[in-house]
Amino acid sequence: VNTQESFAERICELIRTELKLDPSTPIDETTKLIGGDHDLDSLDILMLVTAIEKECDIKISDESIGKDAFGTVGSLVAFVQEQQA
Amino acid sequence: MSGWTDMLPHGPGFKHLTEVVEIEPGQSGRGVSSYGPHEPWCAAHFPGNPIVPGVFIIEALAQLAGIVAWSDHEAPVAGMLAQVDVRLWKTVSPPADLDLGVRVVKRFGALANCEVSATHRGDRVCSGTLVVSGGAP
Repeated sequence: VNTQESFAERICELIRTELKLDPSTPIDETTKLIGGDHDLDSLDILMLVTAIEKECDIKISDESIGKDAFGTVGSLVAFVQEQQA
Repeated sequence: MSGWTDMLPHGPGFKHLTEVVEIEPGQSGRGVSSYGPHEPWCAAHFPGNPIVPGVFIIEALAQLAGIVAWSDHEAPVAGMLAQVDVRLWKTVSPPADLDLGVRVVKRFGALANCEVSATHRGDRVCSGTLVVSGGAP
């Protein structure tokens, strides 16, 4: 498992936890977060960003949180990595 | 600090936040929730052993969180409770003054995720997180 896959899996685990999904729920980088089966609302996004900040020890500015980043798991992973850079 | 509790849309019978004692608008605040020895609920919760209901403590924290979270807005509103994740650590018998603390951790749109705590005479009574939303009830 390379670093990119490992990081993406950490984000997938956070999503399962914050959305209170069964641990076996299949989630990968193509999974839609807005629309699709999970269809995050504003509260889901707030709680997920809070969890990501804690897990990754980063600070994500409130202004940078947009729905574009939450289109798919892949776009979210890219967004978080941009915030880490 | 006078005036802040006037933001609350609640009627006099449900203002569980008695006073705001410190506020950094939009960031953090401290307040007090006071309960006297003859509150209407004392006889029933519980007969012969009055205990401040935990939901009242959570409500007081939510009222303070709503004030803190939206106090930096041009037209501040007290907000509504959207999510609760707290632990109640010990019971409190009236009369009691609870010291409340709120810190805004993260915002998204009209939502604010807040760390909250309540203590009584220095003892931890309640701690956790609340999410409040801005908007009139």
